[in-house]
Amino acid sequence: MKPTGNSDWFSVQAELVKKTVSTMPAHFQVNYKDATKNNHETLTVCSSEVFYVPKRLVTDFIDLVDLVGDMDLHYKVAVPMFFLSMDSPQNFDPVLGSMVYKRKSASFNTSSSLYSAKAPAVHPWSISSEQDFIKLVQQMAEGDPLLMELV
Amino acid sequence: MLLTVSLYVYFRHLPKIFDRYSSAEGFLFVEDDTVLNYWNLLQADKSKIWTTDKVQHFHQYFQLLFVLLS
Repeated sequence: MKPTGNSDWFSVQAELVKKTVSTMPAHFQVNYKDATKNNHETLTVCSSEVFYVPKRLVTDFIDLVDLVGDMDLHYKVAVPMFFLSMDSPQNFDPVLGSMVYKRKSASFNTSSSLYSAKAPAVHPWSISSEQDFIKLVQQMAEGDPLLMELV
Repeated sequence: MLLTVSLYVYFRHLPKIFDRYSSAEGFLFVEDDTVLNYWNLLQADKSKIWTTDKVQHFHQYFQLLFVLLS
């Protein structure tokens, strides 16, 4: 991923999305255009640290990967484009909407204060020692008590 | 079946994973710097897409779209 603020990178990615969408079969185009009808000039970028693809959409996903081919489309642009083409956002399950999310920064360190067992997912997190790992597992045990047997 | 792999397996390689685990009910992808609290996902609908609305990059000339879960 290019550094934030690189307008050329966004322009190129937006152009590649436009090109890919124009080659999509009609049902994908309808979904994509419907989802973006109020935002024609925008580029959807999703960090995609965690996502789920149901079996019923696997074939669609493969077809869309084939359409992208060798184009230099970044996965943080490609994956949301796939999702918006495969189904309406209204049909997405909102389970990950409440995940704990913080941008990575130069000052980022493993922070136990960021973790919450009530969230579906927590990002970012890094483990640099066995002690970190044990601490995380202990915190996770609030959600899954069986984890305490590991530490 | 639930499969967890690193997202750094680039999306072009995902079809190979789909083929390898063709009996899976779905595929959950998680980056290796993300903790997954699996006990909070049990009620989620495994026939639907799950994604976040977390947009990581922003540029002043582009109004990014936060539509994924809107």
